[in-house]
Amino acid sequence: MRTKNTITILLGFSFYFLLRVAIFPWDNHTSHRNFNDAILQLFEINFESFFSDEYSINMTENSEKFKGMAVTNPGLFYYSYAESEVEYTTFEWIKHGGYSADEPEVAAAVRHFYDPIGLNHGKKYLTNRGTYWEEIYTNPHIDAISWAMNGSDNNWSLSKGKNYFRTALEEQNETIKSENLAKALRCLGEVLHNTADMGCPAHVRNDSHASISWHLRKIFGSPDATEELFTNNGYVAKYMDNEADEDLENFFNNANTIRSIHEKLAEFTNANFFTTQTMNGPGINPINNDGNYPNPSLKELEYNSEKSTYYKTAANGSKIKMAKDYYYWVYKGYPYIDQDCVNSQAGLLVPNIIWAGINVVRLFIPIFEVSILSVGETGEITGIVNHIPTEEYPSQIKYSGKIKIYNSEASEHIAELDCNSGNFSGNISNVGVGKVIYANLEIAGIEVRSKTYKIGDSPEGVTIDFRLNVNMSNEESFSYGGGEPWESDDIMRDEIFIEGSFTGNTFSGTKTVHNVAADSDEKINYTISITLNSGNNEIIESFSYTSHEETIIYTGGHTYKNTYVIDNIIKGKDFNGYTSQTGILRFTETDESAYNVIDIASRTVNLETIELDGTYWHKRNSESTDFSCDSESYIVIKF
Amino acid sequence: MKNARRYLKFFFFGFILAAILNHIPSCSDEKSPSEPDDQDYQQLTESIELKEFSENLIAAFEVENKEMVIEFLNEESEDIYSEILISSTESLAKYGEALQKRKLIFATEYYAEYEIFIDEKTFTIAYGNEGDGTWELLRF
Repeated sequence: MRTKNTITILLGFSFYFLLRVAIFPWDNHTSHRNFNDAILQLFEINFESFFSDEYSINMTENSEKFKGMAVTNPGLFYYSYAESEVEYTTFEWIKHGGYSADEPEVAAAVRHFYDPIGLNHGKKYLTNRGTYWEEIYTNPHIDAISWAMNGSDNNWSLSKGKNYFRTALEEQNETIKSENLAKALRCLGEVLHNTADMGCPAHVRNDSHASISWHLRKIFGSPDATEELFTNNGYVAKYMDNEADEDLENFFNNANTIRSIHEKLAEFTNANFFTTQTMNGPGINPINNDGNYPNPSLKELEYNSEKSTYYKTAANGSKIKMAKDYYYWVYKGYPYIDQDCVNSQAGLLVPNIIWAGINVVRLFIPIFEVSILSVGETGEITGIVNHIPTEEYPSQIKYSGKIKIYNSEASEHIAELDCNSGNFSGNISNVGVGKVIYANLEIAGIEVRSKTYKIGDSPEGVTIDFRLNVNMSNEESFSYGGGEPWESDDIMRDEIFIEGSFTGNTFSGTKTVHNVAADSDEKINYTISITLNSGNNEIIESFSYTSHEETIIYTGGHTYKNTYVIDNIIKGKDFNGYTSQTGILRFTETDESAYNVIDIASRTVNLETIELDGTYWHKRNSESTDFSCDSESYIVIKF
Repeated sequence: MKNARRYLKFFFFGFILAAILNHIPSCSDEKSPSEPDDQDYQQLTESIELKEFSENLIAAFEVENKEMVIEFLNEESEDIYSEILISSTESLAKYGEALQKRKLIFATEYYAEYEIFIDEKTFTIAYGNEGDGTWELLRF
């Protein structure tokens, strides 16, 4: 009887594993986690180039764990994979995202392609071998960048990740904060997965390839030699310190959006690398019969007949092995990519991906400034955490959570204060006059510290400098002659005058355009942002307003008037007790070609009743056919 | 009936026990399936399936039968490589002989690349697997 019972238990035991194997196939090996690992490590080495001295970033070593859902049983479909609650560190979540983005595998496999050229009738999503797999699995008609940035069905997109990060930063409750951090970090990891895909030729040249062990079907075609060899050869570690393409790196370092980084990397990879099935050149047509990509082309590559190898010279002068055509059977056969070629190409692909990823992480981190405003005689301390809007985080994040106070000389933690919607206060009565302290915001391995503050040096009653930054930028598109194409002998001369004034929270402006061409159309967007800084560059208040798009029809000269309402204006604001300051009024204008900063005047103003009169003058002259314009601008604002 | 219920109970106990034992390691940091080994790896073991495929391919070369060799080609590269093979006057047997002494330089679940040596020259040959477990000739 006992034997029978034991056998029955063993049967039940075995049945579980049989069932599990049937439902949850086990195979998913990629180098994405290794990419995320390398990106984070190199980001930390380089972050000082991007962030102010007040930032300290050590996400890889941060030991704090955040609870959240992670993929614990990989699978092909949503019904056959599973997630469980785990606790990971910052680094572990970001690495996990590199892995989990490929789960469930079939859904991921058809959403991780982006063709920047749109070779198939402008479609950027995967269409290669569509007649095969679309009969078996529905084509979601979404490209990799759209999916990773804000795919509505993607629970781990960039837009969701930023929302989770925002919630984590604004939430006071530590449990909710932790849960949202876990989600945000996994999202970042999944976005970085897409970064790596955009550096993989098959993913940007509409070349589906076997990547799923689907033992009943073969639907995605033969494996891509580059991806297979690239994935499992340790190239990430081998080439992570190589130089990226210089122009590409410069673009990434100056990018303002994560989307633009992905698009640029995809364009570069598409234009500079082949896959085995998408080669073209004299007498060579792509194996997949999907048409020729404009670049690269075998005919423009250097061919070494002794080595039967096609070479491309990278911007840094290195020679990249693009393909070979060396065969036993014939003198020159159809070109192919072997391990030797992939090794050579990885030397450029890996650092390009790493630098793209570094800048994705850079832009994912919101910018804050922390300031101690006052420390009273009995130790009452007040301060602020100010968010600096960026294109990724354009609206204010009002930080709530812990702020730690440190003794600057000994880096000794002396107090922990609660910050609520950007304002913190508390008591540090145990710290004496003359001590130098600083405040520190710490989250997920990212630290932002305030400038040091010497207790006893109260700024109350002291006149300090501040700057009022008025930032106006516009984007304009013109068509002249009633929509007729621009002709080379046309001369565009227009002068745009914008005059207006701030009264309370309203900027009333009049824009006048004089141009020589009749019947012109103009579309215009204005962004006006104002930042009030204290003398040591600490931001006291910041806000911005973007107008709706206007379409204006001109006939010769025309005058157009618009009123811009500025939310959250200075008037009536409590500037922490400051009522009268001397400041410098500064105007900055940004556009793609210029960044001008002009200090206008030094004034003493009453911040409680501030009223600004501003005159903006902008003149542009252009006599070119490419719409590049020489422009000059300045602003006069009177208090 | 009573015995059936008892056995069902034991069966269920075994099932639950397996689930618990499986769950414990899957949630540890070291062994979690969500965290495959960090190390880059290069699998250089020729699987039984790969070996069998090579042996069948060698047999086709040794009998100098071009049609048989073409049968091993992957559908997507068949046009290119059947043309190359048919137009060639090189010895198939010699290639088959070299393939017997092949050196595996790379292998994953879907792709394998070998070096072979003929008359002191090195050539590469690649096999592919479209995910259905069947190896095919991608390039040779």
